Amino acid sequence: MNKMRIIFALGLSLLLFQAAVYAESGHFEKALPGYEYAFPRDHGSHPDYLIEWWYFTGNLSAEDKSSYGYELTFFRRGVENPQTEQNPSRWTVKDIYLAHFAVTDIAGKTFYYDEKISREAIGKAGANTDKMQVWIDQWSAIQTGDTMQLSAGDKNWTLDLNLTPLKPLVIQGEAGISKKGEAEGAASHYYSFTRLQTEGTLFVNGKKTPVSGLSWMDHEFGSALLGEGQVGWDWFSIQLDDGSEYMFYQIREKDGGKDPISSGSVIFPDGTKRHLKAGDFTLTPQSFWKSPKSGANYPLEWTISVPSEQLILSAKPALEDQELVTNKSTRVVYWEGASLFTGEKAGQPITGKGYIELTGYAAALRDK
Amino acid sequence: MTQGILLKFISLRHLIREKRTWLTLIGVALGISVFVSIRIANQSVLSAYHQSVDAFAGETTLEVIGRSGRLDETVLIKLREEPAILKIAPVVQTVLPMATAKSKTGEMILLLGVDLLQEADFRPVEVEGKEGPFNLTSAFDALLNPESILLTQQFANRQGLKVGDRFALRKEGTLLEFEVSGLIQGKVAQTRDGNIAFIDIATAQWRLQKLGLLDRIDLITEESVPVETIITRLSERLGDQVLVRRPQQRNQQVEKMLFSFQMNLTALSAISLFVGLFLIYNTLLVSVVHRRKEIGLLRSLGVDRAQIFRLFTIEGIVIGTTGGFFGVLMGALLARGVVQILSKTVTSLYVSIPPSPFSLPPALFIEGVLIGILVSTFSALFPAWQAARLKPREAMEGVFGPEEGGIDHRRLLALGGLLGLISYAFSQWPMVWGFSWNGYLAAGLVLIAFSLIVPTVILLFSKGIRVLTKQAGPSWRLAQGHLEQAIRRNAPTISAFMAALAMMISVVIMIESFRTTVVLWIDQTIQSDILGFPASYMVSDSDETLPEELLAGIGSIPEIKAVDGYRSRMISFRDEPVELVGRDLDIHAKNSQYLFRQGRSEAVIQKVIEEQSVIISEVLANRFHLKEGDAVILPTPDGPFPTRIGGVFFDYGTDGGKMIMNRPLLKQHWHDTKIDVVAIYLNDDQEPEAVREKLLADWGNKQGLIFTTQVRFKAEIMDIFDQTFLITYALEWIAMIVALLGIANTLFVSILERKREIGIFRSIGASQPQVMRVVLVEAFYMGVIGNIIGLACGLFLSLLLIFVINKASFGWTLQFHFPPMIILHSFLLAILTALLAGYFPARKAARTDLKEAIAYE
Repeated sequence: MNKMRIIFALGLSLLLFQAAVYAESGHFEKALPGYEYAFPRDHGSHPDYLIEWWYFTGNLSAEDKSSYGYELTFFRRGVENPQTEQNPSRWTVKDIYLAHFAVTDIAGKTFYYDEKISREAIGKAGANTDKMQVWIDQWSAIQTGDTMQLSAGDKNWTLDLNLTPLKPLVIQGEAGISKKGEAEGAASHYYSFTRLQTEGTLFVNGKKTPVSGLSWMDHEFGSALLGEGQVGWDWFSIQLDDGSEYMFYQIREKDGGKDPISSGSVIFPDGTKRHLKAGDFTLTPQSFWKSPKSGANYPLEWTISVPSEQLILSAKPALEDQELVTNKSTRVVYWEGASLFTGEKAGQPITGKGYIELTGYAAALRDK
Repeated sequence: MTQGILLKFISLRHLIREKRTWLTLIGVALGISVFVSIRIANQSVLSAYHQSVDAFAGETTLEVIGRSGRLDETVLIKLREEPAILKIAPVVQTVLPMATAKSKTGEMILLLGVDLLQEADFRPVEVEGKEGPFNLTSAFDALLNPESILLTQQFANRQGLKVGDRFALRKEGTLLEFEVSGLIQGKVAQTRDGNIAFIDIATAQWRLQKLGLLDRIDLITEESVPVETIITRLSERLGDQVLVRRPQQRNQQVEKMLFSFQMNLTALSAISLFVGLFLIYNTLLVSVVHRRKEIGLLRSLGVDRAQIFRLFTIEGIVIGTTGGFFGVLMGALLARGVVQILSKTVTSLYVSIPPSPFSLPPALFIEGVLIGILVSTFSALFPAWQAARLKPREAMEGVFGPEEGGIDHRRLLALGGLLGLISYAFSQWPMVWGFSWNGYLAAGLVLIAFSLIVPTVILLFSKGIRVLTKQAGPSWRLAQGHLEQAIRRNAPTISAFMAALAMMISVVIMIESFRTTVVLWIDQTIQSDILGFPASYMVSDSDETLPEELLAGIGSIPEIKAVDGYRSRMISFRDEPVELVGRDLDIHAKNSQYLFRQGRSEAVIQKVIEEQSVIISEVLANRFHLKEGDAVILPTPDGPFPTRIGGVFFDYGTDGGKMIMNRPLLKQHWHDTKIDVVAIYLNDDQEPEAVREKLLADWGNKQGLIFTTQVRFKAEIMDIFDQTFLITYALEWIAMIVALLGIANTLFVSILERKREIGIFRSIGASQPQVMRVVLVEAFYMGVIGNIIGLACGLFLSLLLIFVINKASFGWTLQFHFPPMIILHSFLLAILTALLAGYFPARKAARTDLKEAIAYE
């Protein structure tokens, strides 16, 4: 007998990243080309779409030069069920909210993460549809004017940050959609703030440290999950010292290949963007790290090359263990970590910081 | 060194060789086993209760409930403003019967509506879904599908249910149907014997008609902030509509009552121990008398007093320790049965207890043995002292000085009188609700006091018998002479017997008084001809109710004169749970009554209806120190409702007491239109059975209603009553057996001592039956004396039990009722016991070999 130990909350295993396909309901909008963005409205929630997330990462440093990485992501997943729709209770689940929060203390070689899952529950969690305001309990991302305020943590670790864009937002992908597969609607609406000036405080183990640095913000919404044959993705956000940023993602297939739909972009110091197709860049793993927790084998060191930009970078993690095992919320095991980039651009040495996200490597865990 | 040799060659040999040692051992073991078994059972039941409560409370540090029993869900918004609250879990709950249970009595399910997404923070729950690959639909279903329910593995196994099966609960005559979407494992699943089920809170609010309402909110708070501080802050923030308390407080009431109940049982079980103490004392004393020569020999060989003292003390301790050891083992065996009875009684009286896993905690094991040692040391001291102070020459010659042979009965009598006075003083101590330590102390003193007058009574009895038996046969007079002569040995035996009898008699009087009171009470207050209630009503803590429309429906039947709808709900009165009842007081006043402390029932009730006041039961009045005319404020969902106590009535139905108001008042202020029981009054000349049949046909099967006639209902109450006292009776019987062993023991020694006398007696022509008769007559005398004193002592004890101990423990005023038959019964029992105990020694005496007996010495 296959005994499954499911904690209640797991019920939801929203499979946000997983290869399983949830029967898509026709009621949700598809992400189609030609979407007209309107801000600040589009910073808010889009309940007509099945899934949505607000994603923040950043590299911060304190006065004493100690450096930190952070990730704070809020997910929303719409739930459609003809039976619950008749239930007038305020507890009826219409959307489920999830959040992941991680801090990397690079000098202290500590990686801390936590997660939350909730229904709206009379104000416990929610997202505004008119502006960026998403929260679960005390964790929140709220925009006032240009500034985004983030706060998250528990009594041992807390992060409070103010993020101000140094560049305007960029719409990722082409024609307002970022494709994740060949099928119609297998895409998301996706925009980013690629360079956000960040100031705030980090409270760690009873000590309050003022921190500052650069953050990256993604907001994506759509109704498609990974397609069949897709096992996971590798995603990179890189902020280079010359004022440019790069974003790459490649969707890996079961046979080990790279989905041709993978793409990226380069944002020049003046804020203009150039779309990069799968053929415009290569991401080559150099060395692997095996997680003692999940047993997953993650490629943490990479060589990145964008010939059209004369860019060659090598990526190294700021800390090896930046793996999140989210048993409580998404039940996804992934690596999301602050990383350092060094290399050459047009023959000149260049450095940068950023984040790498590696999903779908811990598939073995699911089969246990 | 010497001590070791003495012990090995003298004491142990005696101990092992002599039969009476074994009798004593059995007695002590039995006494301790009873005590231990009750302790084990109490502890098992209590820990089963705690475990279920703890598993349930989980990580909860505080809980919020509505004082009026109603809690608006929006209170959550205010709760979230309190920074010291880390996690919040709203709960909707109810107890409903399973619609198609395998067992006849029905299975009651605690149905919990929780936020499944947050529940894991509070109560770790593991769920087993369908077989096959990891499939999340089971819990995903439970969250979204309003038909989904999670049952426990234990319950599912018992009912033969599996994932995917249909499952139904009954609520107000309709079925709530579900599909089993998962089976819960682990600790939480063990509570209530597995009779719990989880559904999502959205489903619960919808299907249980509790939209917008919660029954409770569990909180996990910041560790560093004292809970008391948070309670104060929250109380200010949330106002007086809600009560914030520790989850443990919810159970305080129950625990208080359980404590009283268990302490009383423990005290009763101590009777056997007490009797066992007499037994050891007796055995050793006899041993000292019997081994005078040996003691003298040892003393003249240079063994000093201290060594003799130690020798006998150690003998006592050996008996105690061995008895204790076997007692614990026997107690553990007994406990298996006792646990069952006890958890059944506790479940029917107080709170649902899961079957308690039997265990013998090492602490209890050690405790049992230690008690054995303590009791034996204590009871060995006097005999040992007696042995030590023997002068070598006296002892050798076997001469009794007048001082040692007799007994200063006057001094003992005076001491007994003094103890009696002290006991009286204790009994007058101001009452404290809960465990009546003063009552038990007084009872202990009464027992000792009566034990002390035993020698005096023996002498008086002996004198009286001498006159009476002048004309009787020689065996009557011989026995009388011996009774008086061996007073030192006989007195403790009779004391032990008396104590056992007295306690038995007192408990019988108490139970009889209780029973008479209850019979009187139900006769006067239950006057409705037929009672109707949901099938689950008598089973457990069911929340199954009846719709109000039922009243009109039943009322329209021509045979029926009036229908009184009875609704009971819990409120928080002065921060404690109190049962609030709403019923049609006008109908009750006209057709039935309450036994009020002051005033005539109908007059009091009519006034209560008029001025919208409440009446409370005596127990409640004692609990909160309330009296007639006192002003009280009751919490309602609409705010406080000030009223006054219109009357205090006697009630023996509930432990915690209750408060009763006219039902329209309950409807108006608590918006509660439900009904638990209907009391039906028939027109004169109607046959209750016939109407009952008719009602059953109309509402019985359709709505799961049970109708019972007054006669049957009363019988049912009395059944529960009698079952409750089952253990009590069992305890008494064991104490009697211990006492019986004591008598047999004493008589055996008596035979041994009189071997020569019996031999001579036989040689001068006494027949075997004649010898037997002498011994049996002595046993008879002992039984009669024990019974006379036991009756008197039992009477005093019963007064203490009824008016001090019971009153303090349970708050009930019982009418004293002395069953005259008890005199006859106790006499028969005492004599039968004494003769039974005397039979074997008598037979032994009769069979004494003539030659050997005379050749003795």
